[in-house]
Amino acid sequence: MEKELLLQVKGMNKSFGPTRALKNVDLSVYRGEVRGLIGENGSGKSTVSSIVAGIQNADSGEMIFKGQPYQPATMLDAMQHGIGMIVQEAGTVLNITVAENIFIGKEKRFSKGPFVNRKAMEMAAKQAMEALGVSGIDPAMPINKLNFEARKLIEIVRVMLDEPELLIVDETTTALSQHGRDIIYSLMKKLREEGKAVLFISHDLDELIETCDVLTVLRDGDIIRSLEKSEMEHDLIKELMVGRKIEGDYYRSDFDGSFGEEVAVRVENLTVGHELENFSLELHRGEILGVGGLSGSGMHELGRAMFGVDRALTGSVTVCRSGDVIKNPVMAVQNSMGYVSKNRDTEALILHASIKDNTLLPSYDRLKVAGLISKRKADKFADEQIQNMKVKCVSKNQEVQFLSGGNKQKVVFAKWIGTGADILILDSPTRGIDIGVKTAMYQLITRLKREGKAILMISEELPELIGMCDRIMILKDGHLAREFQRSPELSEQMIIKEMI
Amino acid sequence: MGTKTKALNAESAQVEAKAQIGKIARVALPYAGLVIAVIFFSIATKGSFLQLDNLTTLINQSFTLILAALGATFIYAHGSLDVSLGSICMMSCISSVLAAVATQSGVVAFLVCLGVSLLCSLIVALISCKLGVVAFVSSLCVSFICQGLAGEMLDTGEIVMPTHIIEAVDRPAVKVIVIVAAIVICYVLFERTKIGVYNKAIGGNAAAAEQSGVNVHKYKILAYVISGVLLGVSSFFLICRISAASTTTGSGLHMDVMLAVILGGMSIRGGPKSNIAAPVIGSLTTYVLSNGLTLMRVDAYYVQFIQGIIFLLIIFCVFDKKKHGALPN
Repeated sequence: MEKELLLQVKGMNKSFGPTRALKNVDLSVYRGEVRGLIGENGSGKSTVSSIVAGIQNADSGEMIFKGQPYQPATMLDAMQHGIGMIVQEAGTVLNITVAENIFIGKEKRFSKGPFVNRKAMEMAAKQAMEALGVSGIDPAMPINKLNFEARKLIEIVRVMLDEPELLIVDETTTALSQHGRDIIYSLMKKLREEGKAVLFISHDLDELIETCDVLTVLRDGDIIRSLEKSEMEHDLIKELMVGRKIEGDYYRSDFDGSFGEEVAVRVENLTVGHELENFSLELHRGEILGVGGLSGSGMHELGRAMFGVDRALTGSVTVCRSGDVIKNPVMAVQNSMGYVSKNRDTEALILHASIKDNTLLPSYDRLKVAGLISKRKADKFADEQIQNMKVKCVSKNQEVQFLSGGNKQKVVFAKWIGTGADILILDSPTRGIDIGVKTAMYQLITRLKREGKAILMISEELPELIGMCDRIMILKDGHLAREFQRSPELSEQMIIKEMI
Repeated sequence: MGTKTKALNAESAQVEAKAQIGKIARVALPYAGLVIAVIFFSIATKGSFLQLDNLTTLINQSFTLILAALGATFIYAHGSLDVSLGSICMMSCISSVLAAVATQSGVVAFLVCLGVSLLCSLIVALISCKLGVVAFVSSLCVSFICQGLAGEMLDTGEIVMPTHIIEAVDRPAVKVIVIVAAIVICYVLFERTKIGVYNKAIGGNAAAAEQSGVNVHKYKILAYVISGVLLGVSSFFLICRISAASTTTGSGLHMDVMLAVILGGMSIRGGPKSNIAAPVIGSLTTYVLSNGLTLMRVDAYYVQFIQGIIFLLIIFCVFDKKKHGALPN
């Protein structure tokens, strides 16, 4: 069968400041094709797709869509040409109804004079939803009442209303349940059969291998290779993404779930807001204690309260060596605790400050000479931490905002390891981090355990908890649902059952 | 492939170098502006700008602003916008003169000036930190309270500082020493102690600073203490120069300070790029401009007009308007 070219990208370049996000990228998408894009963070996959969708402009290069030169000025312009995109973040408008969201900008269809016929709009919304297999959502409901997944589905319905010939799906599935994913998968299949095309971006290898006809791997703004269905294989894809062979041991290799006798932190009857109720735990030295659950289970609040960021309504967090009850982050840091927030950019780092300033923040007291901060000591300290963590940077004076996600996280770790924290609360420590840095992080966490540090690892990624932790506490609705011991038999399915 | 990568690397190195040059240019611009202004006026006034009595005038004029701006930099660094400086200055001056008239002691007058300024600054700090009111609002309220109290304290329109105190204090040599000492001490506090680095960190990201173990309230309050002390000292020298205190003394000081700091190339949103050179350079530039233009016999109205234009130019050149401007939104 002759393949018909739908979209062609030629020699596309894009820079953000000194960072070259795309380097002469060429990409061809054919009709009847589901094209996967994969790459580490910062590889350029989202940049390409957002340029195609009219969100931003390329610095140079050209695009040809349906045989015509194509240069969208805005997302709306792209949509009118026949290219629609579903983004990662929430894209619905709050405070208006489902139907209004679906027909936003198209109210004219239902207007009689100055009024909008709501009934007709809601009927049409229902039909549009049903056509995609979205059921159980009342079109008259305000969008605020819906959960993230339902809103995402509404967004898809809205985009599909314009009958795009090329649909871009940018990491949308990550946040969806199996049901939501199935809707997207069947939609993709339908588009393929109709001779349209899909550009599908995801971090989930299995998902990509399952759904894509061709998978294109990007690295550092270059297209590395496009794989046909028969070539798609986990190890090869990972290798292409990282640019070198990934060692077999990704997580900890041992299944020895033992840890020290000494209790480092004792949490007793902790209640935080409505999120966490009467929760207790003991974290030991030399232990990696995992905490998992759904995002509303109270696990993030547990971490915040243990470090004194959020106030506990009842109960206490006691650091056993000193006997101090932690009331605020100042006390926590004094007690050698460290906290890696899941909100890296907004809570863990000062983005406009240098790597050095960020790294030094909790450690100034030890850098003093005669009461004043010693420049020489500070420089040496920062250099050591950057070297220790292998932070990829131009210099220690580079602003943190210009680093990639993984390197930013390394700076956060450097801050705590540098100050000698021996009780570490890690909330989603590998969120948004690429495979290369992830591997390094897991090795680091394992090393810290061996050094006798107490580690609480809060994560929404079950494979990570299973792979790394000595014990896993699964939270549900603010209570402990079940505790698991480290074991090779432990599977995601066993844990998911307890979470829902 | 190899040559392609090489070319790309060279290109990205070029982009980086360009960004670096731009950065240096922006940092250097306020200094360059001051130097150019000094050279320009020296030539345009045929040297009378550089004569000793004009330099003395310049020091007298800029003294209050430099000191007040140095202190305010600590507050700006952590991201607070304070509008009470002028009123606190007025309150301190009036209290100081009242104390001087009553006791005839210069020391008492100085201590009262310092104490009142410190107290008012602390009230602003405590209201914003402990009650969670933004500094702009709390300082506005304190400023109104000061205005009201001052009107009550003054029966007549103004009161005059006893001459023997003025003679002891109002000397250029003393002022030069005080300025130099203040700059050195502020530099050390700002760059080499936790007060400075923590306030910059708080201005950069208060949540991140707190989660790194910084006692945010304590260091914000310390910034106000430093500002209060410097404002007290600067108010005392001000009242000894102008001799009479009234309810309009020091009016507009908060605005002058803000403009000086921005003119010096620092964003009053604070954060990690705050620096102690900005208030000094900015204050000097402000007065070099007005002094030089006056020497050139430019009409006072035009002086303001020209100052406004130059101010806009500096903001336009120094600050990245898209990302983070000089003023809070």
